[in-house]
Amino acid sequence: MQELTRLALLGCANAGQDVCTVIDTPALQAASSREQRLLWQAGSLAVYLAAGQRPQTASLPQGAPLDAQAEVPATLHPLLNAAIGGELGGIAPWLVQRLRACGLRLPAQLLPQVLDKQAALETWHTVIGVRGHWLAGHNPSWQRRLEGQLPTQLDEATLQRNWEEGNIDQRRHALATLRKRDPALAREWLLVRLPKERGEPKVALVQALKPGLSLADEPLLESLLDDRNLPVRLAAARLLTLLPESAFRGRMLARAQACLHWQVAAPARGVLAKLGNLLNKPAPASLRVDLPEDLPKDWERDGLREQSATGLGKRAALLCQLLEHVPPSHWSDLTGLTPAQLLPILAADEWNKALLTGVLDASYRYQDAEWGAALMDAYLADNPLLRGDEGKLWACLNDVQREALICQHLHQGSPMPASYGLRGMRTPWPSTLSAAVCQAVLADASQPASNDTQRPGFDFSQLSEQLLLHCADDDLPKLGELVALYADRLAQGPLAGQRQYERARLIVALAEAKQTAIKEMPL
Amino acid sequence: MQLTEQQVLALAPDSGSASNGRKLAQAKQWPTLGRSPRAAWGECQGSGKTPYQVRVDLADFASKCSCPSFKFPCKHALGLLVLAANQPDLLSEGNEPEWVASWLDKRADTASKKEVRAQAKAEAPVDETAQRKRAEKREDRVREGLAGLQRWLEDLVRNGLAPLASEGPAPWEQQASRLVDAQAGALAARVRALADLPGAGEHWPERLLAELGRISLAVQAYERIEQLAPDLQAVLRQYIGFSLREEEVLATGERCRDQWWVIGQTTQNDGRIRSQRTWLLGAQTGQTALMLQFAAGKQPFAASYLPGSLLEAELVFWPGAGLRRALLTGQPSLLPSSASLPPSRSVAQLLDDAAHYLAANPWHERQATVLQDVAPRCGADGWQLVDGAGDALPLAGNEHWLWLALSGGHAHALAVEWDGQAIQPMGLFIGHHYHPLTRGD
Repeated sequence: MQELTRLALLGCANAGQDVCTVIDTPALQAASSREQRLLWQAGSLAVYLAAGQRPQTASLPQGAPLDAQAEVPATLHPLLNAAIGGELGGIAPWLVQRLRACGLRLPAQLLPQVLDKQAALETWHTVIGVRGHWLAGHNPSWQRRLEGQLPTQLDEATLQRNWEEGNIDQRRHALATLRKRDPALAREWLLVRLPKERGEPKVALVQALKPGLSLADEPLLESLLDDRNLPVRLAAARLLTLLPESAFRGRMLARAQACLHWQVAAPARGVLAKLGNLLNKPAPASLRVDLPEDLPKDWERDGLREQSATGLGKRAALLCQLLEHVPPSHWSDLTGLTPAQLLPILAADEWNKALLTGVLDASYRYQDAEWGAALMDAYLADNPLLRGDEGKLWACLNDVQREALICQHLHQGSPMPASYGLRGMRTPWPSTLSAAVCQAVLADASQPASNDTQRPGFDFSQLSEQLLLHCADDDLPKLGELVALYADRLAQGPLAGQRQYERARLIVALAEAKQTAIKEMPL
Repeated sequence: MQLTEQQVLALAPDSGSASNGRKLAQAKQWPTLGRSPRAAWGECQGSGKTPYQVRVDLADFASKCSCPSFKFPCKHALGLLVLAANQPDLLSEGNEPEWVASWLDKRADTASKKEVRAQAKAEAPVDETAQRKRAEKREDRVREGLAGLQRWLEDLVRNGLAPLASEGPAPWEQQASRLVDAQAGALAARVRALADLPGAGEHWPERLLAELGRISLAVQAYERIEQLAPDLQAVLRQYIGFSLREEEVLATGERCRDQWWVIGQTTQNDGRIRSQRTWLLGAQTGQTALMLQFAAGKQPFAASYLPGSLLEAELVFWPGAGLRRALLTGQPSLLPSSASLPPSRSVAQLLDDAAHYLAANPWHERQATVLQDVAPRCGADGWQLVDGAGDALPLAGNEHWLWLALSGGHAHALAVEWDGQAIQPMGLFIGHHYHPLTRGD
């Protein structure tokens, strides 16, 4: 066929000689032209070759090793398929946990779609079983993706090669891995490497020091405060401030103390004086803020800037940043006053916006629940200075404070702030919280629908969805009434509105999915 | 009925319908649900006041819904079938409501009427003179068209195929249009499809020349068609474009009753027309049959066949030699499937079969069968299928991950399609369920 093909490519007009093939039957003699002969030869030869085709030879491949883990029961396959495809809201993490608790793995037919999408793999990689790892081994891009998910057991040589030749993700990963094994060597690597790095990769490598941060990292981070690149300086400052013993923290504290002058009223001595204090409630302390006119050079080196994103003036921005580096408990210790006593003083000062924002940022950074609660109280008492900081305020609270506050909001009929607070709640939710949310949804449903189209009401289906996703398994059966509510809406079809219908569908599907999964995968 | 969700969703006309169908598979949306040995039905609350009435004939998965969707099967029918697959207990056995029974009866009636019509048509007195005249006129046109095609083919090889790689589809389109005018439609489609070959893959000159050669052989064979055996005549006439209407096939075709395995299904989309090949394998006769369906653009296919199912049915075959196209007739009934594929062939036997088909019909292109104990092999130079004897064939395309995942690289029986170049895996049974390996579109 090769010879014929060469002749056909060139064209009979451009080639002198015809080609002889096995197909030289008498019928070919009847061809009226060279071209016709070539075509007939080609057609016959194609049939001849097709009829005589031989198979290639190969050996059967080595199959996947046996999986000791059992596959999820077949009744759950459609459910898992939908969850992996993102059709069941945020149920995936719960399902993964359930599978792991039961020692089950995903069915083989769902593995390609998990390995094929980064997001799916991030969620599901712990339940792909031996088959999943074996399958990924056949596809380099899946393999890479999977390696990115796993606590890798890279050997020294691979680690070093990734560090020296890899992309930024691989380098960061190599650094993090080595840091766990040998923090000193990891620092040495970084010391050699950092001067050659620029821009975002450099920042990323500095940020990679956060896990396992220790005082041993301080000299390196201190040296980075002199970097030419602002984001690198800021990244180093953010890490130094996390080290309670660091010189950086000491410097910040000293500066803050120099700026904030507290005058604490002497404790009342006599009985009369004490009684008088109680009646008149004198301010227990007063505050004078003294800020430098210009940004001192040493402040600048430590990452303080004259501008900030909060729309404060130059000096206010400085104050705010300074406070952010001081644990707020410092102020309570210094003055002997509670956060609740100190806050009104901060709020009364002419620098109040900067003071409150700085203290809030610090409460958030150092996770100070006592200050968090006081700030939240101030916010709820409608302090205008804290408006817009809801997310941070909630994030300062511990779980007990958070739950109590959410329940309080729900009882008061203000679901909006409650839903804010629910976002960061640890899962599964405590039973009391689930019951409160359920009650709030049912209470809303029992009220006549509001006709106020100007101000559409709060969407309780969001709360219901969160409830179904995050309630404890034992609490699920208690939500029957709530699910029935949405099942009724579903049975009415999309008449009452497509969106409501879709939401009802999701909620009923979520409830059914969880019930089925609990039934089919008993713990 | 051992349906799986994947089997059902393979019936969906597009991925949107599949996803919507799956969403509708919630019992709460179905105030009534039921089934009988021959049908499944339900009422689904849609955006109208009254619920949609959905009914599915379990013999051939034909469905009817009172919703206004032009898609077929619509999302409601798919939702009902997904429910039937995932939660069969929800569809309790009961008496068919009137709106289900009357539809089924009407279908049976239409099917038998169609056969009667075909019979009547075949027996009806025809104006033979007029018919002969029409046939002669067409014969002349075709001969003229084929002569033109032969001259064009010779021109191509005279000037050489090399420049075609940079010429685009225009010359092929022109020649195809001429063949359409000459009423040689099938040949026209073949020539149009050749436009994709030049420049595609390193072996394009060889493949193109082989195709041109086979077309040229058909032109030559047609010149002396009277000398060929009747079966080969029929094959050649179909190859050129003398298509038979289904009524004609029903009236005159050879019939064969058997238990037919629906071993697999593939769909091709050339941009204008989608064509679907459903392959059947007779349990008793061992015969292979091809059921072809065509649909324009996004139009649905007329009938739904469920890969992995087993049908008790009568087929009517198109005339011809070798592997033949067929048509389901009467009311097929769905049998409980044994959850495995029928007895199967080795790779060497598949190639032997191909040789036999080619001996009977030199224009034979595709066949399908079940291969025994084969596994996928993913190597540096592409995918291969390997059997226990160490015989291997190349696999079409690069996406065989689902098969690899399901089989774990171990040997299983596999339904395949073979076009002389590469194997297209169609489906396999794992854990008592049929898993289709071909996508709907």
